[in-house]
Amino acid sequence: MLLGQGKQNRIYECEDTLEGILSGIYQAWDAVYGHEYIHLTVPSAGGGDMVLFSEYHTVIPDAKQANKVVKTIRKKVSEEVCEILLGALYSKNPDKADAVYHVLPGAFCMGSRVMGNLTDPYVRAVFEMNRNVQHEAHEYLGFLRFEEQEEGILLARFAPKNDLLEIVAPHFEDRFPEENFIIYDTSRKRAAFHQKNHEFFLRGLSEEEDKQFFQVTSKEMDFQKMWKLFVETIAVEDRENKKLQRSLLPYHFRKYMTEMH
Amino acid sequence: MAVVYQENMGLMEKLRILSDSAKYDVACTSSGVDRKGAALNMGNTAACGICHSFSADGRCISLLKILLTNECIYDCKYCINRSSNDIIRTSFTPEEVCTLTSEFYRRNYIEGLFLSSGVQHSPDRTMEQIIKTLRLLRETYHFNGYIHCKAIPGADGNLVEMAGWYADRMSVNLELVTAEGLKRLAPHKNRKNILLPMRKIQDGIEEGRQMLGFCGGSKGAYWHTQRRLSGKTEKEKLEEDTVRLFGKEREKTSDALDAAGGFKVPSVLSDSVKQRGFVPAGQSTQIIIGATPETDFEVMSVVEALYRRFDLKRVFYSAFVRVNDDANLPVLPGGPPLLREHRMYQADWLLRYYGFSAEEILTKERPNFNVLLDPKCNWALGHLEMFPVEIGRADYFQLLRVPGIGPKSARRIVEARKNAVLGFDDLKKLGVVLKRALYFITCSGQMLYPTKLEEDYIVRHLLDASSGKFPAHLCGEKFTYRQMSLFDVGGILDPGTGEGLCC
Repeated sequence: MLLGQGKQNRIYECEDTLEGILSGIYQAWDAVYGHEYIHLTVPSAGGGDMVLFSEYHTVIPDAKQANKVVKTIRKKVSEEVCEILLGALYSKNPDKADAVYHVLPGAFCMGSRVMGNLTDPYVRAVFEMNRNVQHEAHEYLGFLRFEEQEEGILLARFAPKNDLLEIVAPHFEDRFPEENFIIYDTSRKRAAFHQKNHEFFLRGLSEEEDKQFFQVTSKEMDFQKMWKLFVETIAVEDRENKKLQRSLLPYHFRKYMTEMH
Repeated sequence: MAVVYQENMGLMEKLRILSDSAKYDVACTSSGVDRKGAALNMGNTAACGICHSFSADGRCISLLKILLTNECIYDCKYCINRSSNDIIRTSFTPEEVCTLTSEFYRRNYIEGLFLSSGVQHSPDRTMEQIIKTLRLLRETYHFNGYIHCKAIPGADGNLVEMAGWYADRMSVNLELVTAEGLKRLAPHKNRKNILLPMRKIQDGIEEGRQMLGFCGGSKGAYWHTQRRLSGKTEKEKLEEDTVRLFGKEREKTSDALDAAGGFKVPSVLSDSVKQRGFVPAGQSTQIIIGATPETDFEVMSVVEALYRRFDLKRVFYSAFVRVNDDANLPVLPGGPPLLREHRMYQADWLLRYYGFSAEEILTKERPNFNVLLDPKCNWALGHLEMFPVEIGRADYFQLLRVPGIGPKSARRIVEARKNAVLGFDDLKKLGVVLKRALYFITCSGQMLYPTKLEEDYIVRHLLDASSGKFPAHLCGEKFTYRQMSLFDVGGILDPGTGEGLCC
């Protein structure tokens, strides 16, 4: 880009949380600067590459602004589109904030049909990200393993590629209303805590807390043994096909799976 | 402590034996019913089903698949548990099944229980044991997850029905599609014994729906596809079904069933049971492929009849594994006929989701699947007069018939073309497999490359494009293309006397 030619791009740096990005969307939109000159990023921990000839804005997360954005999309576009956009925001893809932002102008004029417009690059990107998130979340609904700790607390560890805690936790809350359980995202150091008959909540986990989590009971070991035995015997020898097993259950899922160790 | 350990060892050994003998049953789906969790209970279910693991043979593990007992009075030639086999026999107590299920479930190992059983003493007694176990699991252990259970052929209709109030899905295995095959390999079973409980479950689901609303079981993909093809609404089709199932047409064929008494919600059942409904995830069955010499056409015709007349949710296909040495069983040098099984599943999908009929996929003259081409490609090559199809204009079901376009991409095309004129690049992004579709479609009147609409030409190019690329589950370390063709020649010999499926 030549100096002095036209407007400068404006880049909003958001914190990588739902609230952070939604606040970014609010502030960028509020600036009325022209959508094509606006980009949103979620800088990685090490700090990403800066782009020349752009002005940078750091977004300070604001719960009120975030809620307003969600409410507006729900009301003016549709529930389903809102779910898809929020789903995309859990993605591991650093372009998610920008893609969601740029779907919005079309969404406000087309309404709920906007996601059908798959030839639009932003719509397609959001579609793909949400699909990837939902797919990985669905896999973990099955692949997550709980281990019983002292006092009957169930602990599951996993290291998903996308940020899935808020998507998988409601499923297990519905499934095990009577259990005390913790789902721990070991790579993001965050966990969902569920106390019997209460709503779950999320919070970060310190190193020390992390280390406390290895107190499985002897009853637990018995059931782990039985589960491994079951997985082994249920396979039909004449049909053995490790390649197929690998493609349906890739290695990165297996890290915390009881029967794979 | 030592006593507990002993007990656990006992349970461990039982689990080994009774899961080992249950593994040849293929159905392991946990799909078909959405049920929310409830306070004091454990469990919910998801309509899409959830896979929890994959075993070394690449099959999904979703349910704790076990037999209640491997004792059996029947002597089916193909079965590892047949009465003439000298193997260790054992049984779970209902409590043991409940403990395993709920402890596995709360660790998220499984989506629920798949309970099958050998026939101990009598079909009725076995069915009673199954009901006892399921009732204990639902009412005492408050288990609200998925349960798939078997209806035992020959069991009293009322018992079959009772089990249906506790299960999400039930199945009766047809195993062999011809009456003659059954007679030869499963001398203690017959068509009637198998189809009666199947009909009983179907009636229960229908009447349950009328009494309890839609928790009495949703309809399968085959039903919905047929409904869409005929342009009817759900209500119209349901009304038509009622006439078909309970009206005049039905009376001729089912006098044996009427004798067993009508269907009513038993008064002993609690409200929570009624809320769950009667077999809400519908019923399925299983067919063994390659144990008897019937043709693929015979199998698919029977399958179509099962979907149409018994309203089955799924039919599962099980490549025959020779576990017993028996003169009546074929020797398959290439191992289980996996490619044939794969083609069956492909054709099954064509029936259920694509609106094909069995006569379109196969014919009396060409009664077996093509080894090299999938059934849909095979059909398209035989009907080149219907191609090329214009992407901008063809309706949903026309699009579905194009090789390389499936239900998802067809739906996306219909949606996306409302907003833009679609080109080949767009199609690729929508999930269309262009290397297969390109011979059969035009975008805005143009084909992708200049190609000939000629059978030989297309076959040659399709095979080039996919040379050596069979689906992953047919390309395990032990599996080569050579073995497949060896078997497929063997399977065509000596077609049996197929008869239509009726009861």
